[in-house]
Amino acid sequence: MQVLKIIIAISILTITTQSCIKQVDVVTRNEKPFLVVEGSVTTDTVAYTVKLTYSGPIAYSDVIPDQYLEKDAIVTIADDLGNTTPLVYTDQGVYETTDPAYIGTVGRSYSVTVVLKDGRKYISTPEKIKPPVPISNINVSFINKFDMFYPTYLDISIGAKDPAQEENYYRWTFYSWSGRQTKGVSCGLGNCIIYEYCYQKFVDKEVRILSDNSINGNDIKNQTVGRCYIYTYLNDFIDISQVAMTREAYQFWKSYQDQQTRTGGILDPLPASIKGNVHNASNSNDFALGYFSASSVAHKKVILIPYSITPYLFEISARQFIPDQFVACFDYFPNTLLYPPPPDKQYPPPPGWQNAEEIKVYW
Amino acid sequence: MLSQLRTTYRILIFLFIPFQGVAQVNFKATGRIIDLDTKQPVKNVSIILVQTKAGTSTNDSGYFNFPSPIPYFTITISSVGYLHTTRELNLLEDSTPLKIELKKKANEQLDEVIVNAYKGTSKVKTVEMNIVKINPELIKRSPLLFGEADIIKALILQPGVTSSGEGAGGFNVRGGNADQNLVLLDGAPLFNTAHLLGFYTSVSPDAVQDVTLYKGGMPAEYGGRLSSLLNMKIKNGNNTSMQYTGGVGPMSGRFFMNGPLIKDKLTFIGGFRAAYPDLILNQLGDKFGASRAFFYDGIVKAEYTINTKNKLSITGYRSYDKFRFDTSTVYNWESNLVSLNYVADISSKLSLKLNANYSRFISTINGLDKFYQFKLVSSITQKQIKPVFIYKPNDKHTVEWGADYILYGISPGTRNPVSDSSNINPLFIQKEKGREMAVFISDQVDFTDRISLQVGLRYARYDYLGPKTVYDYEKDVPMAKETITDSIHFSGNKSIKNYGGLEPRVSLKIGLTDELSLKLSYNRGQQFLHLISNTTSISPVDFWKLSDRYINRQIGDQYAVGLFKSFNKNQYEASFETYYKTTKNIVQYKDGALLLLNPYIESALLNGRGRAYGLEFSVAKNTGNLTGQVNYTWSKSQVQVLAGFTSESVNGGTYYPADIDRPNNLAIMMKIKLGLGWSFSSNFIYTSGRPATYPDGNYAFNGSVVTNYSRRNMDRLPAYHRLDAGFTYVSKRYPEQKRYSIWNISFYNVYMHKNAYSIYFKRDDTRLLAYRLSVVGGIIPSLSWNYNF
Repeated sequence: MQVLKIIIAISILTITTQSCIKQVDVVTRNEKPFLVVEGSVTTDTVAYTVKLTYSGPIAYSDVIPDQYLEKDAIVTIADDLGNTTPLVYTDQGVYETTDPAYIGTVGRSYSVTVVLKDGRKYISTPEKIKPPVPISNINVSFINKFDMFYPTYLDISIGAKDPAQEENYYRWTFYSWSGRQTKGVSCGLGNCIIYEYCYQKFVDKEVRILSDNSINGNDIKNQTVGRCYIYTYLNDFIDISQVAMTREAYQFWKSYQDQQTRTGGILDPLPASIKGNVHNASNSNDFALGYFSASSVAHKKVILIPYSITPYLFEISARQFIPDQFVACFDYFPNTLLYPPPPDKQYPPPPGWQNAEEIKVYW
Repeated sequence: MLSQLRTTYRILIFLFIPFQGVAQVNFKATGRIIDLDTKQPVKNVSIILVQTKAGTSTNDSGYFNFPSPIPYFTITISSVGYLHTTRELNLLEDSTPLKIELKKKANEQLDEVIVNAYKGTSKVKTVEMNIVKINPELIKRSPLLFGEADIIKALILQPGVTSSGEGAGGFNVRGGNADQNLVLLDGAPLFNTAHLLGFYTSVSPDAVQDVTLYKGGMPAEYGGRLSSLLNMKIKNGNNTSMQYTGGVGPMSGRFFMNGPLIKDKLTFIGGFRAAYPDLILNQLGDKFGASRAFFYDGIVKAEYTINTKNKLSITGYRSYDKFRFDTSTVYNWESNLVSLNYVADISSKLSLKLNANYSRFISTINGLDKFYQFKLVSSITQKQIKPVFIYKPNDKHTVEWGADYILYGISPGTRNPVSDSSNINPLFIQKEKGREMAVFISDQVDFTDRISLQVGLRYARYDYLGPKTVYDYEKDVPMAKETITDSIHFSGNKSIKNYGGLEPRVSLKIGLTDELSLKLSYNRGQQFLHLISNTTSISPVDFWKLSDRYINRQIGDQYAVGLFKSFNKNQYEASFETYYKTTKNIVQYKDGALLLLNPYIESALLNGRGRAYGLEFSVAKNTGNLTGQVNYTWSKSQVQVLAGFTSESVNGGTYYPADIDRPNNLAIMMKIKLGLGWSFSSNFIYTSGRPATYPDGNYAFNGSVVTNYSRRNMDRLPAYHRLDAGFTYVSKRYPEQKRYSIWNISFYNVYMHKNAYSIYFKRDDTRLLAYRLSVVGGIIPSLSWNYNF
């Protein structure tokens, strides 16, 4: 076996990292712009939006150049009973419903019609709203992991009971108002400091979906829906939406997810356009990108009280995220809620959480 | 004095022959050729009558016979791996059958032939075309990757054969999909040839006698795949004494033994290879991450000589792979097969070959996620019986006929939870059953020395059998679970759907001169078995599917023309082949559709067709201190999806490059004998990158920027090129030497080119960045040692 040892030694000693991933420059083609439709009807009593944009050299999803916004379309939503409601243009390519009585109903089918200035008409394949499935429990665990980019965090997962009698497709969306901290600004002489704290809105962009294909009728356990980073001692106000969607919508999100998690490895599916459900009414070969969905939503609003954060952890994990300048918290961070200064530091919860369930999180 | 007289007599006879005008066939030489050491018959030995340049070859049992117009003549006997020998015959004095023992060449001499089994019988002389033969012994003496000799890696250097990338499973022949290759091991099919997800071939070359690849126009007795037949024959055990071979390399260790169990009656060969790839996976890093792997394969073959005319052999093979990608999934796959072969010489002109086999491939996926642990098993089984009769009235005429009966069984998937806490429901997808029955006949005639014709015809009928419940779908809308209108149950063995058709094959050889021939061929094939995959290369989540009510059989037609030329007594050979192929009913999948464990799989699949064409050039130097080969192929392979609904079409329904389209292929191989047992060999490979789909725009959705890939395969990865070099030392000094070593020192990817396995795109805040994944990024040195005793 001496020979084997020598052979392996010689072969391996000289190999450094053989396989590698390297960023390279590649010349890519540019196709003509496609219309992109993003919209939905839900069972929530809110104004429904349809966003119309075009594909092109877009760098940020929230700052789309003017020429890639569709501002002059006629947009209507219709159900299978023929009830229609018009949408009006607001800003950034977004059209909104104005009739507060137009609410998505379980069992009804909905579709969108978009008529462009040049007369081209796009319609979506109707989607039927499935009954909502309630969230049965919420689990929060404290994850003591941090680095120079992120502090320690709370991992939030849910449980639900999947109905046995039908196919169910789930999607979870999540946002939170989480506490942030700055050094604040001086409010006069002495040690008077105000505006040290504020709540910042974090919207989870991860696509979290599940098909009951393999678990029909069973419990959904440990389904992660989001996380809250602990930047300071304040509470987190979270909103979990459990969306009951159609199989077609699930396939759309699955393709979307596959594309966002591509690694170039041997098991990667071949890249393809994410096929949506909106197409030209007179030419079915002319597809719009994006999706118009109809779904029911079960919400859960919870307040998380992080007892898990100790002064020591705060120092080593969160301190680095407090900017080293005297600035108001709501001025420094984007998407914040403005609150009156302490004395008592008892910040009122953001609207919607007044009577929410509280979960105390220990280490 | 006597011999002088004889010589004079011979000269006189030769002088008279031309004046007689017609060469009368008055004499006949018959005999048998066996191996000096093993006393085993040697088949396909070329026997050339020097005076008339006529030739023949031995049959599977080593017998030959040929007519001669003259009683005195000289024959030269040659075969790959054996020393040439000549015999002077006088049929007037002695007409008893000859018994000729051929002596094996010492291994060093064997090195002269790199990839050329036609030495002696030149490509110029045979009627067959579209063929590649490789000698497994010699693969060990070329540059190796991690010290592992590999059959498919050697094939990829040949014109018309490509793979989808480094470490990717399977191979592609003349633009055909990997599932269109029929891979046979002693007559039994192998459904998966990949070890370590495709890094290696699952058959160890140590056990293989010869490897023949038909790139089209496979003999009429074979069918069921469109692109190629890769026929691997396992060695027979020798009949003299036990011989052992052992070896170690950085990837695996192996041990093989062969010899007689009952002298002159029963011989056997058996062996085993086990790998310890974790040592190397740790080094490969990125592509395989925290992966762990293990594989082994083993083979056993016994041959029983009932008498000189009847012989029975049985071959058993097993390969096993385990691969853990990350902490959540473990893949297992295994192949098991048994093949029984019986050969009988019914008379001197008629013989029978009977093959019966059983082959099974099982793939298992184990999910390890907490609360969702499951085990998913899918499999394919084939049972086959095939008698073939060979009638050789004379050496210019061979007729073969027979029948073929195949039963296919597929279990597309059974999923079960593996712990009490698992939330996964059991799921069972209906099994599939199919039956293929075929009859075939082929006839090879040498009209003159220069014109030969081979005609074959196979008729295959396929039945998709119950028990099974099948679905009717609404017309004029895409098939989906929601559009099912009815379900019909078929009871056991009832034919649900049948397909059938003729598969003609024709090859014609026209010798233009003694050293130049033109060959033409046409063939048609049918394929009832499809591999469903949505990745470029063969992967563990692929599964097989039988033709059914909705999925038609694939039909392939291939036309080929070739020119073959030899120079300087076959020292150099050159060939040029061109082909045009069309394929109907290839199976494509809908983007984003669920393939695995889909009870309504037909609703996820689309019908397509393909076309491929190319030119293949090859020049080889077969003898001398420097031997080598230069192969160049230019080819195109395209597919078109024929969707009934525009919403399902790909690239607007036009032809686009197939995933495996790699237009330019160049391989240069050479070997130099350095003396004292040392040789140096080197390979250079250049291949166009395979087609890829790059982004062609982006858009905002769900608060993120999304990349759009609207045109499939319209881009191309950078070209692949690589230089390998290696030294081999063989300590064998004389042919009878039993104990000797073979050392191989290899350098893979000498100039450390980082070839792209894939290019993928990821967004970095505002920019879309391209990343190149290279499987092998540097030079890989390796050392391996084989010992024979």
